[in-house]
Amino acid sequence: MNADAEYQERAGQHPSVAAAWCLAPAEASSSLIPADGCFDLIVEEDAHGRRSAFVYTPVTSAHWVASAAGTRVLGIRVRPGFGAALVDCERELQRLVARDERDEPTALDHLEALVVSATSAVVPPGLIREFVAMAQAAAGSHRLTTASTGGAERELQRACRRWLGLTPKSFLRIERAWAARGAIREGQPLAAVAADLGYADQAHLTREIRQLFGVTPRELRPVGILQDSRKRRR
Amino acid sequence: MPIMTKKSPRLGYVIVYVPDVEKALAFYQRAFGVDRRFLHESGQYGELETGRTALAFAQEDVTTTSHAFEQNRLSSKAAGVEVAFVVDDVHAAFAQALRAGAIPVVDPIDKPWGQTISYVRDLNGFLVEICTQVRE
Repeated sequence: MNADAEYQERAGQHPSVAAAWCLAPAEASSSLIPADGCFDLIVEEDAHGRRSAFVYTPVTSAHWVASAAGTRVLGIRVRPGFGAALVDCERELQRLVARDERDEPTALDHLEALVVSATSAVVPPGLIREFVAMAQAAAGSHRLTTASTGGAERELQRACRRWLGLTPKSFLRIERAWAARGAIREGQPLAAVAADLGYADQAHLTREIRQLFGVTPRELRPVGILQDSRKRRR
Repeated sequence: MPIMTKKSPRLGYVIVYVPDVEKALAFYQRAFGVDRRFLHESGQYGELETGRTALAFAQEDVTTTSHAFEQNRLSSKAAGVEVAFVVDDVHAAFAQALRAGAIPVVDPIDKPWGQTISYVRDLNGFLVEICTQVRE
């Protein structure tokens, strides 16, 4: 959509950072935010240069966020497992951001460095690192149950809530949907994607895509007459 | 020898090449009351709710055929093609289209055989007919 021209994203430079992004709409606009299982530190700067920072925690449905004209929003999205560090350091980050004098074009690099240094002491435990790695390797496969992490169920539940901001089930659900989204964007038939990833049927897959990304599969599928309709995000 | 059956191809799409797909979808909704079926996440392709044959828009500079056509523009003559919307009240539909910014080309005319027709150009200069059903 039009607002996308004003959205820029790059990969993280530090292992704990998934991406650094910037949204600067020329006019008032809305952005559709997908459920991605990640925490972000978000810095909003209004037309008068006033800055505020907050930690965005994972959600389980897509939603629209409105931005006023002239605002600039910067975000540092951390990898799953590193979110709790952002929450623990929110106050400190807010203080650092408010004090910060720096401006474009180094703003994102600077903000990323700030996040990394403020949060480096808070390291996710092995249980969480294993769970995330396993979930991502299996692309959120339905075959992956919480039992296969070897951790006790209660302990994993508690750890996921703190470190991922989600239940293990929700995290797996989101990972699976992202795998499905990737396959749909490659042009794989919906029925095959649903079967491969263990959705009950195509309707189930469509419901999940709609809830987590706010779009229908048709909006993701490649379009034949375009040179290349695929776009990368995440 | 087996009996050969020949299936004639279905008309799947009418695709209008435009500079801005989202604007075109919004214009057709306002001017002609045709709802949007979907807009691709790239913003470069979208369809209207027009039944089995989709009236679609594609962004003119990124299609596979971009080298092969004249771009639709209000500043030049319309391409030699039109789409026609069949409505009950042509006068009302024509007025609605003009209010939405369509350019009048032919005001509503009642034909002797009982059909009413009219023409406008859309936001990009593409020709659109607004007419009643021809009586059988």
